[in-house]
Amino acid sequence: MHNIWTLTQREYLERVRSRMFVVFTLLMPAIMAGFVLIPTKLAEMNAGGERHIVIVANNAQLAATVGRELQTPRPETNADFPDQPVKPATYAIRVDTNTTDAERDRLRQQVSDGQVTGFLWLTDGALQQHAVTYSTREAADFDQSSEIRSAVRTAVTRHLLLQKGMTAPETDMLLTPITLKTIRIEKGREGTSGTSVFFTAFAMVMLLYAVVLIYGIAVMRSVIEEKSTRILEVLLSSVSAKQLLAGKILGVGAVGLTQILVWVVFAILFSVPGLVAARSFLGEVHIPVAGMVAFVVFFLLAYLLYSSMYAAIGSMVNTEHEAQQMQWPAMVPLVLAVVLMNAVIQHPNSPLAFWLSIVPFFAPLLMLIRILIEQPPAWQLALCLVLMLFTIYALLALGSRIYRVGILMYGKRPTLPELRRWLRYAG
Amino acid sequence: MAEAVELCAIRKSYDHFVAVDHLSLRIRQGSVYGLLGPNGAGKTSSIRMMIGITLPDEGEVRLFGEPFHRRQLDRIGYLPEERGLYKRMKVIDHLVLLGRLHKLSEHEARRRSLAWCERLQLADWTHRKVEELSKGMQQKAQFIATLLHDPDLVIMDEPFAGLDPANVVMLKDVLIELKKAGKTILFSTHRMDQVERLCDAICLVDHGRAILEGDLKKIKASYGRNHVQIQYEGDLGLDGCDLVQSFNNYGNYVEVCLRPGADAQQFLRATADHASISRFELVEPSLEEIFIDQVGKHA
Repeated sequence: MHNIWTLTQREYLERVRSRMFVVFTLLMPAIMAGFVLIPTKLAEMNAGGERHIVIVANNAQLAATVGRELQTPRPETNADFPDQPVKPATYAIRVDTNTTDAERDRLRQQVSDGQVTGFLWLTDGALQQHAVTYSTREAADFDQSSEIRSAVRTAVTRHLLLQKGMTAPETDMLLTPITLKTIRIEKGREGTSGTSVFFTAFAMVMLLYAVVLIYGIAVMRSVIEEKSTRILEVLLSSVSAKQLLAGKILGVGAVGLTQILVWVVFAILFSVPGLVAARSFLGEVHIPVAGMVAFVVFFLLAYLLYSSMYAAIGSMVNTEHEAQQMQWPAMVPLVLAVVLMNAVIQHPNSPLAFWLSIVPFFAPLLMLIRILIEQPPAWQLALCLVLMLFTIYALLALGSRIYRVGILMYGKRPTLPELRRWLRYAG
Repeated sequence: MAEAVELCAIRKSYDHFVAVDHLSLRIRQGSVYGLLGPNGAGKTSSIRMMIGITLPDEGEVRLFGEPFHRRQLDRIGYLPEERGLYKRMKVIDHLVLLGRLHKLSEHEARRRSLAWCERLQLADWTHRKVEELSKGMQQKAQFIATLLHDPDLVIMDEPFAGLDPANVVMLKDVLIELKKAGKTILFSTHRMDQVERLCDAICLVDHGRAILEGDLKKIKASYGRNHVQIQYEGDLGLDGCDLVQSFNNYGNYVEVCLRPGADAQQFLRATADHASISRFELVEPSLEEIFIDQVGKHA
C-alpha cells in the first residue's frame, strides 16, 4: 500500500503541476461555453442589422403582403428559451414590378455590390411553378431563408384567401401558428423544458466521452513513456507490476477527478441565483445535482474500465505510433456508444435502450444519458452498476497480467496466440 | 556465513525458448560475484528471477538464507541493464521517489541523496530536470538510486556499459568500498576482462546453463600455468607448431595454450627463431580463455 500511495502521489503531482493541466482545465469550460454561446451571439448580432430586400412581382399587392409578413415579428421562434428575447431582423422592403431579364441582371449586380441584401423573384410565372427564387450573397444563412420562405407561404395563402372573399380578421385567425412547448415530468412535477434538458444531457455525455478518452490515453502514454525511457526495470526492483499499475491508474484517475470537480465548481458558480448576469448570459442551462453525481460516478467507472484496457495496450507496444494501430479495442466501444446515443435519446424507455445501456462498455455514456433525460428504474441502475463492476474487475485482472509481461518485452508486438500465452505465464 | 543468494535449479522458458535451464549458484555474503556469459546466455533472466520481477517455472530462489520474499527487496539494490529515469522530474525528486519506494522516509531519502550527489559531483544538478543532464550524469544518478537505501546485496547488470573511463573508475572505487563494508556485489556482464580482477567467484553461463561455477582462484589454479602470453613482431609460426594446443590473437599480444607436458622453454626457443619477442610470460588462463575452452567442451 505504501508503494502504491507513493506512486499515485508522483503520478498525480507531476500531472497537476504541469502547465497543460491548468490550461486545459480552464480552457475546457470556456470552449464548452463558446460552443453554446458564440453561435447564438453571432446570430443575434446579425439579426440586429437591417436587410434591404427587393421583391420583384407582377402583382404589387402580393409583394406588399410578403413585405408586411417579413416586417411582423413572429413570437413562436424561441418558445423553448422564453428568457431569451428574440431580436427580430428588420427588413427594408422595396417592391419592383419590372420583371424583365434586364432588371434581374441589374438586381444581381446590386446584390453583389452590396447595395441590397437580396431580391425575391416572385413573378406570376414563378408562382405557377411553385418555385420562387431568393438571390442573396448570404445563402448559407438558414434563419434568413426560412424566415423568407414562411413569409412567402403565408403571404401567398393570405392573398388567395382574401381573393376567395375571406375577411382580413378571418385570415389572421387562420394563419396564426400554433406553438408547441415540451415539458418534462420530473417526479410527478413539471420540470424544465425538454430542449434544455436534452442539450445539457448531450453536453455532459460528450464531456464524459472526451474525459474518459483523454485520461485513458494518458494512462497508455504514461506506460509507453516508462517503457521507452527504460525506467520500468528500475522501478520493478522495489515495486511489483501490480502496484505500479495500481499507482498509475489511481494517480491519473485522481487528476481526472480533480479536473471534473473544478468544472463542477464552475457549473455551480454559474447556477448560483446571485449570478443573474451570468445566468441570463448562459440562458437556462440547468444541471441537476443528481446528474452531477451520476456524472462523477460514471466517470470513475468508465475510467477504470477503459484505463485498464489502455494500460494493457500501452504495455504491448513500444512507440506511440504503434499504439495508434492497437487502440481500436478501446476506441471502438466508446465511439459506438456515441453513435448509439441517438437511439437511446429518442426512446429512453425502449427495450433497445435498456439493453444497450446495461452493456458495461456502453453504460457510462448510455446509462448516464438515460439518467439525465428520464429516471430509469432503480433495478436497471443496480444491474448496470453490478455488471460494470464485474467487468472492471475482470478487465483489471486480465489487463494487469498482460501489463506484467508486456512491460518487460521489447521489440515485436505480440500476436493474439502470444497474448494468450502471456496470460498463463507464472510471473 | 549464510549465502546472500542461492539459486536452486531454476528454470524459465518463454514459449519454446528456454532462457534459463536448471541454473544453480551460491553467492557468499560479502563476496564479489561475476555472472558471466555472452549476450543472450540468460544472465538478465536469472537476475530478474532473483529479485522477483519474474517467477521461475521451476526451482527455488533463496535470499539471505530464506526463501524469496518481496520484503527482502529493501535489502537489495538493482541496477538493470535497461535503465532510465523519468525525464521531466527533478533529479532530487527522482532520487527521493526511488528511495521512498525502498521504504526510506522522505526526509532520510533527501538527506542521503544530497550526500551522494555531493560525493559524486552532482550537487549542482540536483534541482535540474533529468533530461538536462548529460548521459554520464544520468548514469551517476542511477548509481545513487541503486545504493541509496544502503543495500546488503548490490546487483549490477552490465554496469560499465556506455560509461566513460572516469566514471568507470569512480564506480569501481565505490564498489570496492562497499565490499570493504561487507556488502555482497553481483556483476553480470559479457565483458569478462572488465570484472576479472574484481571478482572472488564466478558463474559462467551459456544457453541458460551454468557451465562453470565456483571460486575464481581455484578455477584458475585447476587450469595450471600452461598459458603463455607473447608480445612480438614478425611471424611466430604457431599454426604448424606441435607444442601448441590452441591460441588466440588479441592484436597486441597472442595468448597460447600449450599441449599438456609441453615445455615452455622449448616453446620460447622455437618462437624466437621466427620473430622478435618483446614479452614472453607464463600466465594463468584469462576468463575469456576458460570460457572459450568450456563452451568448446559443452558444445
